[in-house]
Amino acid sequence: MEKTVNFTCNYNNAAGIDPAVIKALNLSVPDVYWNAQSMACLATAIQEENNAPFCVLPFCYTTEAENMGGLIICDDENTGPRAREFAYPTVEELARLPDIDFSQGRIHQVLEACKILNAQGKAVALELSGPLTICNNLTDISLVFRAWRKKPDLIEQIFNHLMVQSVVYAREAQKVGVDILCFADPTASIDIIGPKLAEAHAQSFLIPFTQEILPLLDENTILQLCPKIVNTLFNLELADWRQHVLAPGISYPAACLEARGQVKIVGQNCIKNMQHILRNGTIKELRLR
Amino acid sequence: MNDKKEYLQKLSDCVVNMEEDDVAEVAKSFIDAGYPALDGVMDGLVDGMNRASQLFDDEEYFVSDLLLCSDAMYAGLDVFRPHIPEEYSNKSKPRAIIGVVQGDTHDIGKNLVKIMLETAGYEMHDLGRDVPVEDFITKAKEISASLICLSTLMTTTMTNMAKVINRLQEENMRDQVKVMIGGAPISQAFANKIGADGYSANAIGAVKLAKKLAPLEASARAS
Repeated sequence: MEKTVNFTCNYNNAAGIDPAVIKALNLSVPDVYWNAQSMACLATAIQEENNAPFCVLPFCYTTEAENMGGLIICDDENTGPRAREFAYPTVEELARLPDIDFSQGRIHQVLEACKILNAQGKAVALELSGPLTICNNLTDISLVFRAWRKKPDLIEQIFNHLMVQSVVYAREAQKVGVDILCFADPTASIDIIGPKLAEAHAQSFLIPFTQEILPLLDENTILQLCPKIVNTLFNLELADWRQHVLAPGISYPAACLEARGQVKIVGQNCIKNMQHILRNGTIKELRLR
Repeated sequence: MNDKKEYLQKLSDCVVNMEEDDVAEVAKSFIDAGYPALDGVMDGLVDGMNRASQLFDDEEYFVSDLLLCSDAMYAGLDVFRPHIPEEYSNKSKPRAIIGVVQGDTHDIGKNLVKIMLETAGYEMHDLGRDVPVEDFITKAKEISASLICLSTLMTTTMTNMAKVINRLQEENMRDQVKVMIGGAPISQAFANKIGADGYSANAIGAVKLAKKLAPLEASARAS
């Protein structure tokens, strides 16, 4: 069984967009976070600046939480949208979260921006947030950690609800032409929650989510898992790699697009690492055991 | 259980094993047996928290485990607190402010450091997350803080740490208030660059650093 290297995240250490980029496009904050056209324009500029094979949306990890009642502020061009306050003071209230309404709010604008970019012939990667990251934008995450030990059924109920929302989000994303579904849950990193809770996370959310998503994955859509998530799966011996050889010198992001149709799930590197060149042109397909 | 050592071991074990429901009962029995509350705190509960910290350092315990251990510790503290002699309750503790700088809402690490410093004997004032620069200054003045602990997980908000230090200088408070910083993108080089008094890579190191920057008074407790 091949294990991944423990992945150190660099891209979660940044937030917001360079104000100079926003200004150069005659855009403004919070408009770039709220308006589909502005989002598409900015995403294109960032793609060109990074010499990337696709645009990446959204520009934050808060859209799902916001749609379910999160108190998200978007006032700072340096830092981006964030939850300054907790919308739900108790974990019990998370068990009554509403369904995401994809017809309104910023999440709707994100999907519209994906549609605009797709119509322009651009490839799009859409980032989906995992349950702990969503919870972290809704309540004090310490309460979730405590409840996970003392009331595991409650957390399972919350995770199940969020899993359903994520699956619907993935379906909506595919309808508007998203090419790469990127799933990450940085708050659920194994070095934060430990192997026992990481396994519970995998069994309650990640694996059911992935199994629900599998039928969607085809020659148009691929699922990219954050390498931290992949690391967890391998540490728990829940996955294997299968190698596919593509063109030599291909970058990992380009390979994710190229491999659609023959590969369903990838995750050997961070999708934002736009210049990473695959060794021997080999992309690794993740297979759940 | 009628031996003091057994009680202390049980208190310590309750913390390490996250037995929040049992620890209060053990603490009450300890008091009823006539043993000093302060001994129960220091040699029982704090001992347990220190053992948990070591397990964290050894990567056997993780953040979520330490949070539950601290719940048990605080549950025991709630029982002992009314029985701690006034001269020890009012004993001057260094006052420290802790918070995640403005723009950042990652607070798991900050919460852990707060628990560790409180266990070590600091009076902690937690400003939470996404804390404006000025709030650190205002609070430092209000409580006559001797230490400010700044945390961030994001490169884009690191500059706010320098702003806090600059504001302390502008307010002529820099000599009285030490500043220590931490978080994933932070380094000793960055701490040196912005004039922070120290950098810690983790919660365990934060306690050692705090003791160096804002030493605790020597314990007057009878052995």
